[in-house]
Amino acid sequence: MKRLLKKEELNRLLLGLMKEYDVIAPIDEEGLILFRPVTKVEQVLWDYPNSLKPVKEFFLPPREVLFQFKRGKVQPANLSLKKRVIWGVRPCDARSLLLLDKVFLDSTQDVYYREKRKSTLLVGLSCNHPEKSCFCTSFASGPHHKEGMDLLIADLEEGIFLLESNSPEGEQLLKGRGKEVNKIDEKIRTKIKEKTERKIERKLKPSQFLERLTNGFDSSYWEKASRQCISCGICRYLCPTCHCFDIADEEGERVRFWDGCSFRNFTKMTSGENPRFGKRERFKQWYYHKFGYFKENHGVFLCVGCGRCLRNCPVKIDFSEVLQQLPAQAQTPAREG
Amino acid sequence: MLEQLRKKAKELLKNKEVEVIIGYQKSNNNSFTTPCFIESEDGVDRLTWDEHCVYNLSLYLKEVKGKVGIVAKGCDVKSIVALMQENQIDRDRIKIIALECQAQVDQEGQILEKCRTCQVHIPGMYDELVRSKTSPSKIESKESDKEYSVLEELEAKSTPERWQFWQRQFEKCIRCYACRQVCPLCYCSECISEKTAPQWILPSPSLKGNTTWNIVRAFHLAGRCIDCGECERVCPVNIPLRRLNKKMEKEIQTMFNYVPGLDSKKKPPLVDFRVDDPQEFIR
Repeated sequence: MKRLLKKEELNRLLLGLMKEYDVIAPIDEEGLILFRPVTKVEQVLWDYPNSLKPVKEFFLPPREVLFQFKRGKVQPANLSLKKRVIWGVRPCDARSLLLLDKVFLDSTQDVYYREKRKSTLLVGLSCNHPEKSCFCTSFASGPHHKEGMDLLIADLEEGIFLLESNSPEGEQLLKGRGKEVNKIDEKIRTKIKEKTERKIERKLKPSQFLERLTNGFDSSYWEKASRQCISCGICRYLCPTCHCFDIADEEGERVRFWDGCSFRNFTKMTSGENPRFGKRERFKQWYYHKFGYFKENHGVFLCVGCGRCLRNCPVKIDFSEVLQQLPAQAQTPAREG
Repeated sequence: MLEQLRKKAKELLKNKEVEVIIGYQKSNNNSFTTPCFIESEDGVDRLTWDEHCVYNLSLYLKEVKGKVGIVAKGCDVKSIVALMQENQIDRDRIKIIALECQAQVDQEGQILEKCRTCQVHIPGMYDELVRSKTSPSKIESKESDKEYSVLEELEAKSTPERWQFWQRQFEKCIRCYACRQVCPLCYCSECISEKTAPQWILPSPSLKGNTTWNIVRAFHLAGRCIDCGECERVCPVNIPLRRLNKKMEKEIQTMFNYVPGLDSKKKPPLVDFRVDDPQEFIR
């Protein structure tokens, strides 16, 4: 179902949702753009570059209590959650959840993740102003894709919005609102979509990655490519598809929290043995997981092209360049730097 | 300046005085500056120098083995001095190509806070010095440009207010450890945050663990931090870490009349003992 809404009507829709659901939307929090619970329509950002943290934080939280324990008694975590709406999700982030589903829902179901997924509606906002670091079109996505969402809002500019449902729940939200979409509206929408897609300059050829990675596993290239990396966790933590975690007991709570393959301790075993201690190996793992192993296991790349890794890297490592420059043949001498 | 920098770098590589030079380069699309490692004479043309060379490259000295040349600003040289004081680097294997630096700017083009009070536009220690040909364009000085003016706002607060301020800041921490990883002085082979038996610091990003982590790190840097400000620059959630470190710096200066990173022969106060050391803080 498609409907055309004016800004005031859209605000009314949001206001209505706030009465019925817990609404999470992008806001400016002391200079950081973050998705946070909101109670007022005025708080919500409409035209924003992508949020610092991806929406994965509401499905795989940075820290999550799995259960509590005290003197031998175990108190399971309360998994029931009020129905919630994440409003203003960008297409890249919506797609990332479909990739995370493959990990947390496809075979063994992770109940903590599943319950959050089940009780959340995704209302997306298409993207008209991509950043220089964006490259969603290289990864089966695009600034106006509705994949993974219940409802997508496309900003036709001049205060008019085209809303398109993508699930029965989304259709329910649209019922009786706005007016019908005619051919001219559709045309405007396509024009804006195409214009935005053209703005995305960064174009990758992921089809080449798998073969190159297979050939390049032992390449000296990785030594040089990883040199400037400082092994922090920023790219891993801010990535919408990175999903590795650690589990620890903290004062009567068993908690699950984000962890990343860039850290030395990530692969450290109880015996003290650490199979991936070196920086080069840790650096490489990220690329192999996203563009090698995940592709082999699930048929897709573990990347949605949101560009957060690029924007937030302390030493400006351009991950797309790292992949593009990976020699096609293992014996090809590596480029310096 | 750039021409001279490249010339000196080329000479060092040509005469085999160094095997690699750590410097700055422009990214392929020329839109930003990144660290680089140059191993051949032809590579020196990649070296760049401008007000976007924010990185403190001395971070990489612990990783790069053998004879190494490093392009360094005044503040970066201070951390090299601090590392020498702590016997972390062998001065004989390092050639410092020092650059006269007026100021560095952030991504919005604003002069970095640390540069406003910089005392080392010309680095204090070097093997080669590249001076600026143009007369130094003086940074327009402000009333607030005194060394510790950045602390005034916080110092004016009461203790509970200060605590509240920092709790709010630490709450944001995502424990990405970029502050630790970018810090030249954070070179422990095993960080206290990585220890699990006993677990000194709760590993998950909770307010409690975050507070411990950030305060422990500040304590570990007391009298050692040379204020390169890299931790604050890289923090993805904008925790004003420089204020924390600057406060420790001020305390150390007041108590021991010591400023880190200036004299490689001097012993840092926390590894030294004198009978007349102040003891007011032990009660």
